[in-house]
Amino acid sequence: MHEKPSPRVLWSWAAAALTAAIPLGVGSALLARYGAPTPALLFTALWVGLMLLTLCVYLPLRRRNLSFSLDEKRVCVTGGVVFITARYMDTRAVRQVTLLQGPVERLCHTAFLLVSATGGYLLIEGLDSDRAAEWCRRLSPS
Amino acid sequence: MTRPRREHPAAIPGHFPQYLLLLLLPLVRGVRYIRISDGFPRWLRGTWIDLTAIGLLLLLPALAWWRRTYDLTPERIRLRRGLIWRRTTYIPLGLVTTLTVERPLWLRLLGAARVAADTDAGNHRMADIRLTVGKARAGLFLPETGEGYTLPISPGRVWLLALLASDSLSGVLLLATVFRQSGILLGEGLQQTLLDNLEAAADAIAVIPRTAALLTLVLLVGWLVGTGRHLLRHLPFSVCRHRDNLTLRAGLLSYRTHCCAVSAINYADRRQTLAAYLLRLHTVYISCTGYGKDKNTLAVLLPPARHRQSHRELRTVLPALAPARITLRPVRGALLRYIRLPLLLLAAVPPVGQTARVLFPLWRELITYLCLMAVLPCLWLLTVRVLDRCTAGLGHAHGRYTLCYSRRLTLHRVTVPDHKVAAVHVRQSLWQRRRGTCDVKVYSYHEFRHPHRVRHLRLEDVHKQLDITN
Repeated sequence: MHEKPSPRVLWSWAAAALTAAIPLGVGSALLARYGAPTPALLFTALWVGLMLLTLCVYLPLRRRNLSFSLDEKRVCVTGGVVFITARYMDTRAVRQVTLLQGPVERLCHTAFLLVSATGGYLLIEGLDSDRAAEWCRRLSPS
Repeated sequence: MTRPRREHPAAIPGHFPQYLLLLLLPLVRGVRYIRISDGFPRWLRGTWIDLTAIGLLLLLPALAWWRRTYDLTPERIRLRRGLIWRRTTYIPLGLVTTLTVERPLWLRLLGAARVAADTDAGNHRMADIRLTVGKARAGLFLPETGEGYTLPISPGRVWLLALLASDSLSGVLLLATVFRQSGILLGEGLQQTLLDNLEAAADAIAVIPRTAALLTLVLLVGWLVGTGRHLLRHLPFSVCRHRDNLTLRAGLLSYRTHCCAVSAINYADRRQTLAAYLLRLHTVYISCTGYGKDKNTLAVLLPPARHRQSHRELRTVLPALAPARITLRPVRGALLRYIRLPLLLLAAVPPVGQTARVLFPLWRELITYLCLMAVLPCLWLLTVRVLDRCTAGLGHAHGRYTLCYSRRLTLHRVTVPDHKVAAVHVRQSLWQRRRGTCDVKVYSYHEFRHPHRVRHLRLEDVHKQLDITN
């Protein structure tokens, strides 16, 4: 049974996109102050346009296509925007599980789960906190 | 679940480097105001910014330490860390491949020890979990082993290991760092005296150009420094086998205990450098994720010993990794394929040297000397490749592969159990297709892709031996 990520994961992704926009904003300000106005305007328009596209189109599509499942044998994460990829990991191969929560995730009660195995890892995004804790227990064999 | 615990306070300095960027703030301010005529009073007015940065530099590592907790249950280690991004890592103790307890001198004085746990997953450059804990708690991490069999290792063998494993480059790098620091700490007078002495020693070697003599001396001293460092790290060396655990202890100033799970050992590797081959000595290394990961630590299991002794000791400590009989050998006429690279390198030295002499006529003597020196490693590689041709081979019996091959300047005899083999590649070039030969690459489990390659075996024999059909 495939699960969808919590809708609140969009807030985490948006926060990450806006954090990435800070250096771009600083770049725009520096260009406007020390460079010619036209390149500064073009640069700002470009990154603002890209940011809007990311926030309004890319992230909702990414959330729509993302799903994950966990059973006795394997973990599966399906996702992508242009190309949809399904990644499978044998639960016996799991060596470490790391639960990640930033300030936005703590506010939204969501968490990211990094499942590491020999030769690779899977990132499970947008699980509810309680669900993430449960997955942690199921994935870290004693 | 046990109560989460904090690390030993000795861990606080370890958090400083990640906040050193804060020092950029006072630095940038200083650089900005130093160029202005009335800069000093203006700089003075904003001193609070510098003080805040320094305050944060002192406070943040302490906060990071406060927020970093661990708890250890019989099943797993849980580590929580991070000031803004909180990370909780769970590692089942049963999946830990190597547990290392290290007690450097300065931590011993503070009653602390450093514990590192590693699994087959995670970062291949550093341990998955590193903790600084109290001396008494460090023992709790190590598995209960009971009585075991301890292999007697004489200090002479560790001396041999240090001599054979030392390389000049790392020694020279350490020497260069110490030399730079000596100028700062002890004054430039002493640094100049050291340089004068080195130049005087170089002058004493009158048969070669002065720069070349200096270079040779630096490499020699670097090699000696490397040997000394290996001695300090490995001198009292002991190996102990308890049921499914292998405990290796080493270190003169910094005591280290590595506890490797025998089931997690990917392969055993009996290595020989050219010097070791001439002395008929074998050093046994193991591949167990986490062991030998630290800088300057060798993943050694048995220091150099004669063939019989090392074979006997390996059978005693790790019977499942004793080499199988070699049944496949390179075909006749394969010698050229083995020595092709060193021959090409040797052929390239004279034209490169001649071009350099034409371009830099002032350095003719030095270039001639360097060319002669460059011939040495090529001849060295050539000898190793000829020996490789004589000793290379592949065997597969009793559920394990044994592969004899050379990599760079070392001869390897690797034993990999079947269940630790990730993939076997049989590769044929156009030339090999005509002759019905192939190269075999066996990939063993590791944190990264790690092939063992035997060249020029007969394809038909390989198919039979490895039970592969097209």
